[in-house]
Amino acid sequence: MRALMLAAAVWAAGCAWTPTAVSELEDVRSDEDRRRASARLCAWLGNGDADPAVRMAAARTLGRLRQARAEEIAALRAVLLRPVEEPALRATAAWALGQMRSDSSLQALVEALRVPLEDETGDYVLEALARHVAIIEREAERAQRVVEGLVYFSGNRRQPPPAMYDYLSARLRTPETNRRVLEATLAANRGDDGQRLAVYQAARELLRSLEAAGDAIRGRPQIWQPLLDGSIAVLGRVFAGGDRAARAMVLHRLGRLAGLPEAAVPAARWFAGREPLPGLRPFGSAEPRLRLIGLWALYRMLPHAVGPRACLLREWLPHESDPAVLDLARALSPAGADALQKIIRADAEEAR
Amino acid sequence: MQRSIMAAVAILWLGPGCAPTLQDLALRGQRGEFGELMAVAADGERPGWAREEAVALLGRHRAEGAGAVLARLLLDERESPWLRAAAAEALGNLRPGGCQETLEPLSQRAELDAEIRLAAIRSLCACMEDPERLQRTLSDLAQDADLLVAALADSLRRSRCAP
Repeated sequence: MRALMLAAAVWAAGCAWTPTAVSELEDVRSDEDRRRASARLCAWLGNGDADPAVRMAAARTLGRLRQARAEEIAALRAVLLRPVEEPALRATAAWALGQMRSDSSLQALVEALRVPLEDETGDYVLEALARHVAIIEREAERAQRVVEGLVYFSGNRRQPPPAMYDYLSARLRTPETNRRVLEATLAANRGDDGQRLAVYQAARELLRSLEAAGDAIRGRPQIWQPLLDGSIAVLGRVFAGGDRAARAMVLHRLGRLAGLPEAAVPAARWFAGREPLPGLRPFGSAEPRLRLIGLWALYRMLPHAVGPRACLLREWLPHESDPAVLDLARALSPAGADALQKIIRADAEEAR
Repeated sequence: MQRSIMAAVAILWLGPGCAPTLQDLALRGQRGEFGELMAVAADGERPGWAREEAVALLGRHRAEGAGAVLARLLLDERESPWLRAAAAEALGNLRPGGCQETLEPLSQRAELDAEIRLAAIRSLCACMEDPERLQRTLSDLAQDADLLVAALADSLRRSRCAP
């Protein structure tokens, strides 16, 4: 009879290891019980020899318990970062980390952006990151790390990133974050094609976000001015050291941005200031395309700053002999080119 | 001897993992034993997973008469967010009359657990009878501070609730 009882007890204990029995640990009430339950769940999750369904239930239950302590995060992180684990288990670990909403769960998810992930697992990582947005947004440096991770992540995916990638980017890629990302990308200074592309993309994102913030800048210009000054300074470095494509893009986007006086003034200082900065004169370029864009960008800055006018007079007018540039300038904006001609003529006559 | 057998039987029947199984519940759903499922769903002494499964089955099988039980669970703040989220999903599958009035205010309550809000938003598409009102609600939610809520609402708005 003892044997019968022992067999029954063993069987019942066996039942306690089913996925549903594991899930029941979620129902525990007291803190002490939760702590104990978490410890058991971590042990199951970390045991590579355990039933995969039990491990999956352990990961899910850890997420549901939302006990964001070091042990729980470490157990989930280990599974998520280990490429040999089942994709579904890794995805569940990512989901569970998303439920934790703590600094260390965020750290684990950011790390996951840089390890090989199945596309579906990656989707879960992004969703889990989205649950951390409030934490990410608290610190510019944190947002910068997440955005850098996202860039790396999207570059390593087989499929195009899911919609959540765009939502996360739209939320986190503020001008300040983009400026920091561009600074860090420039500082990497590897000089290879990968870095050139990264700089180009980071600069484009910064300019795009500044353009998108146009209304906010107009609303509170004083608050935005330091960021604009800093951004344009770093964009000047991109222009000075960039390749043909980067230079053209920076100039073109700055021209678009020059409708804002807060952007036009520092841009004019950098690109058409009294003291020529090495490599920052678009008209010094032998490339007609760059001169054309430079002409257009400086023309856009004219109403807000004095530098562009003098620069156009001294550096462009006496030297520009390419009829294509002039034709293209007219074609680009006939009214604008005409107006430009008038200004230049008037200034030239005045100077005479 | 008799007591030992009874003890063994008790261990077998009352062992924590062995009480109801997913298969038991699924079978009840297939047989249309919705009263049983509603009882499991409403019984706070049952394991959370069993209650959630019962709730999900009620929605999946479009159990007539389950709307009131599901709405009660969804609105009961003492219940776990997981059970409440499952009830919101099930309401979307069941589409009982008036589910829009239950779900819409919940979807807009920022202080609510995100899981409940997300489930409520997913089910809104099924419950809303006025497409223009739905688009307005989703547009408002697409501006929500919670990025997951905003993203879900925006994608449903853009796709006009297409899955």
